[in-house]
Amino acid sequence: MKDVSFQIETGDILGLFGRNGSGKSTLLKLLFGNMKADSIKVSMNSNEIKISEVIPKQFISYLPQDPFLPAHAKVRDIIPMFHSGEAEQDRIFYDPQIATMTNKSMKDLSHGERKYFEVVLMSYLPHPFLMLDEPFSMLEPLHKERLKLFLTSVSKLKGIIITDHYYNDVLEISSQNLVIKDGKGHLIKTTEDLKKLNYIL
Amino acid sequence: MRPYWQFYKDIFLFIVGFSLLGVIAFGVFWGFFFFISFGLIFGFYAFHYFKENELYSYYNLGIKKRELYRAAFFINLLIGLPAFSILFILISIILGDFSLTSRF
Repeated sequence: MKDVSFQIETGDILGLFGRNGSGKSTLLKLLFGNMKADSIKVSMNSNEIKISEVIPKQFISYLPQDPFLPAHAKVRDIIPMFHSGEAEQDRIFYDPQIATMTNKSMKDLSHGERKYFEVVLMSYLPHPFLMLDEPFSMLEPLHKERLKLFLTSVSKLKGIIITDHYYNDVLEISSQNLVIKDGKGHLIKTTEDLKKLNYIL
Repeated sequence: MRPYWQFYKDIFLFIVGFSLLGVIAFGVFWGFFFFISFGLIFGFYAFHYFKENELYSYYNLGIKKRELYRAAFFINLLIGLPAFSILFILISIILGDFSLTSRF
């Protein structure tokens, strides 16, 4: 990756696209600080921040592609591990989708259930920015619609970056979009631009 | 405290498994030494090998690897000291041997 830059504010959802291997997930890991870049500059409210501060100061939360919650822990035990406040806990416990699975272990959830739970759990964290790597993959249509509504409401409080090959779902809720091609970032506006950049036919 | 405890639970079986070998091979004292040193290191290694992606849970809570390891060391010590003291007393009573290096 050579030349990728963007700006995101509270209320924005940035859709990040690119073919497999273009560096979308790498970019998220670089921003999160668990992968080192030769050179990277991140500013928040006009103040430059050190990448090494992203995790300890909780600037950005990050949902990776693969399962990351303790596999043998139950949903009802994971919620208080991430959220000590009663109000946040209640919001998650009483989410209609999550309420049905609180007694299940993470390993017993379906892919869709797990993904939905992970996104909700991450979204209520206090971080001002949220990065989601493939939140829509393998979700059934009903879950997808629910998730889009949820993310739209969350975006009022946070800046969100989403990367996913389900580009129609991302474009539906995103306010700006970026395609990574040949190591460079290209801001796009329509699906036609995705075609021009050979992301879709 | 919950995240640190969760991390410790995730590595506990690896630590115990490794330390048990120490107890069987070298006796209770060395078993304890294994429990608080090599067993713990083995636990960290096994976590990385089998559950590396779970580190993202802790990163999202603002906890870096070094803090996790430090907390696991202290929790391990708090659990290991009384557990091995009891084990030592029990084995000593059963075998009538009060040398710290007694084996089963």
